[in-house]
Amino acid sequence: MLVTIITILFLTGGASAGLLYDFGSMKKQVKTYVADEERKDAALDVVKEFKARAKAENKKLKALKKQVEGSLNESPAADEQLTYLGEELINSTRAYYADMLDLRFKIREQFTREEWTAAYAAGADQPD
Amino acid sequence: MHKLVSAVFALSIALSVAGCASKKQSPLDKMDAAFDDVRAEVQSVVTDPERAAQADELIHQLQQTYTSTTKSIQLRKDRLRELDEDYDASRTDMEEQLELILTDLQANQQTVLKISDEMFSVLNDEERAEIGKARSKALNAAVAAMDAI
Repeated sequence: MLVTIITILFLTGGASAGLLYDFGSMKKQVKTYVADEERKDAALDVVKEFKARAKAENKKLKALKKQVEGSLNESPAADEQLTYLGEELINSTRAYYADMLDLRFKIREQFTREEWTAAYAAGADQPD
Repeated sequence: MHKLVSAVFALSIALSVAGCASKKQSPLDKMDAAFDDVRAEVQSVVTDPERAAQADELIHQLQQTYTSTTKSIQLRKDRLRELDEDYDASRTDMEEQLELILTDLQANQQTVLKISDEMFSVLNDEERAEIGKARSKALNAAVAAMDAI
């Protein structure tokens, strides 16, 4: 049990950090810093895409975690299954990162350089 | 210290580590505390000194593995944050950092599997059950800490 739980930790920790978007802030910053209405609407559509993709990945990770919990008995024989699930996690996360990059560049297209810089500066000035 | 308010941008999520550092107890501190609890539990459950020492060493190795991986990923994410902030950053540079994160995770997986094999041979069924029950709370805290990174 001990090792199994720790293994679940390693399977779900770290990579899942990619799900922790603050969509509320993202939406707010688009509304605040993208001046042109047409670009603003397009950027808000991308925010929705981000949210949908993250939600789908989160669902996939939860299913993967259940698979780990349901199939392991902390024996050496479980290693093969663990290795498989670990590879599944890496592959899934790689695809997720690629999609996030696509969206990152897609939303950047809706910002001017000045808007992008201003939005980042505002984020950095905001306290916890 | 700043939060991940720059979440305007997609990759800010992966960069949230910087914001976490300002909390009273960092994710790493929480993880360390959880592992320390597990080690203390092993000492009380495993009565054979030799096996207790072996188990303690293995848990220590796990702790070091997670700490090392977490610190490495934090550095990658810090670099990603810089790139994300740069309007002209190239996709290739950002992909490189993300791939390095995946490499860190894969290496972590392999090490954890190796240690889990060794742990299986050190503890008996009863000890595993006892430690698992008693420490589930602490390990859940560790999971939460990792998820916060």
